[in-house]
Amino acid sequence: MENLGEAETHALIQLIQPIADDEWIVGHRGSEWLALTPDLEEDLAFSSITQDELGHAQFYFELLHSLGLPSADELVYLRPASGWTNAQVLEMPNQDWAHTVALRYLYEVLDDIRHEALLGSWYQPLTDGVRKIRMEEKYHLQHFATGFELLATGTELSRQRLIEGITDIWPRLGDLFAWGGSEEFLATLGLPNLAQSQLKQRWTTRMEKAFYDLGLPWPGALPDVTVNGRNGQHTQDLSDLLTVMTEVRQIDVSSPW
Amino acid sequence: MEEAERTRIFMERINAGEKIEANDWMPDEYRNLLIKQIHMHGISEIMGAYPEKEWVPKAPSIRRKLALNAKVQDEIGHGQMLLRLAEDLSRPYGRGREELMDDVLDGRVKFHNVFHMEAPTWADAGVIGFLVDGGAIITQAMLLDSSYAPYARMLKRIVAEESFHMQHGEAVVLALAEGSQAQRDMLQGAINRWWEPMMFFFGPVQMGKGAQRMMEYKIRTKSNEELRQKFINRYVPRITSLGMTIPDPELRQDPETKEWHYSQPDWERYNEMVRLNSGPMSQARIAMRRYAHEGQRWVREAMIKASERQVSEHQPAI
Repeated sequence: MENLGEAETHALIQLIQPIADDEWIVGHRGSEWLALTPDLEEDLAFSSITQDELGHAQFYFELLHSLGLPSADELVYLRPASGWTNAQVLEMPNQDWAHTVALRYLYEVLDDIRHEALLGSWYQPLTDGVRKIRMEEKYHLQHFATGFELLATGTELSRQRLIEGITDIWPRLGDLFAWGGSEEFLATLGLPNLAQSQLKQRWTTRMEKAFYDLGLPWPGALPDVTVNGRNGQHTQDLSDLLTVMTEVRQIDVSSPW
Repeated sequence: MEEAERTRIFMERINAGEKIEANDWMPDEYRNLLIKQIHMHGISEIMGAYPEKEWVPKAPSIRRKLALNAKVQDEIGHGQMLLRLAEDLSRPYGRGREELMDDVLDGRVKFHNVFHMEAPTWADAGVIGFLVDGGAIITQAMLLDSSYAPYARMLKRIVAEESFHMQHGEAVVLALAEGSQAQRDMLQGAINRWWEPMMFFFGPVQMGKGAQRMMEYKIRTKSNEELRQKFINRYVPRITSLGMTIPDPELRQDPETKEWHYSQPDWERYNEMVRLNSGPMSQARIAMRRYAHEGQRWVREAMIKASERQVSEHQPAI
């Protein structure tokens, strides 16, 4: 924690925790697809991506630990739902393949924008990791952009299912772009590009073009934030996820596994 | 050249220890035995993903979650490589990936008895790596010298990965053995569940006609009993050194011949389980494969359609 004041430390935690939680929850839902994706080749690619996402989350959790929070394992296994700051849309249970591809594509574009902006940070332990992460995320984005395009241009059925997925996801996207509480911490960190309004704008510009190119109907403006996962407000889905995830660990929380 | 003459020359090559390549002439019987063996092997790798996959979302630490995820991915990778081999061999019969996978859903290809069993605790996820992957290393090591060169080459990579899996399983098992009473009980329970299926795993002492023909063709090089003895010999000290017991009161080693005497597994029960997919988890796991393969055919169709369209759009106009 050398050279970090209390305000900076607090700001870094506010910044990193939602990103860590997003990556972990995305990775966890991804791990549920193991051996269930449409073909063996996709299974191999998707499980590599899942391991990357969990690995990125681990990097961020360890960074949080270095800023004074509990250990990575404790953050994952011993936090109640109200302590998680992931976006609500990411905790939704997996549905059909088109739903997953749609959600992941929409998420990966935001993740790309977010990571690009993070490179502007003065906090070197963060930017060192982000640089490595971006090399992997490039492939994730490519993978889901391709999957999205193939479903949009494949058959009538695949296109229809993709649109159904997007329609289901869209109204829940609000807090994906949000932060918990005030955005003053972004000024402390010198990262104004990460403001909600900025993220929304850049994401919308890129997404409108993708939808236009694929002839997909534009679902309209992004919804406002009504309940904010960034403040620990979650659906029953997250509680259910955590119950499953911690089932074994809860048998004996203090014993090594 | 007459068929009989070709077969005679083929057998001379086999007996001289020569290796057969995919494009070499081979008797239909040899091809069919290979297809049967490799198809079943590939499908077993894929069906073997399910008992462990269930535990990835529940893995009790970040490290274990990543390791188990990677292991299951490897198993799928083995299945994919082996199926590609089986697809090559099946080309004369006009059967490809879709058909070979349909065979699982229609019960036309069997998979290993161990993957029909329940894995109700985290300890089972560890014991599968420890015992089943350990057993698979023993059966696959003898295939490294298989007369069919593409299979032997592929096995080299697979066996190397399986030994990582075994080490992963061993690490999980070790942590439980050194843990609380609840963890130790959980481990003993899993060993009790998996020992008998592992005795069946290597097959009957008196090998069937197909297995015997595979020995003659040098597709495989050791008898079922030799493999089982090797397994027992390797695992008795490993399990007892964990402070765990082996659930077989008959188990003992002849001090002179070093042969292990063991209780016979319920041959009839396990045979029926494999033949009819009637084990405790057979249908549930086939249902998961059906979801992936049949339930998402629409995705594969969309991919093919979209790719065809892309190719035709990039064709220069004539």
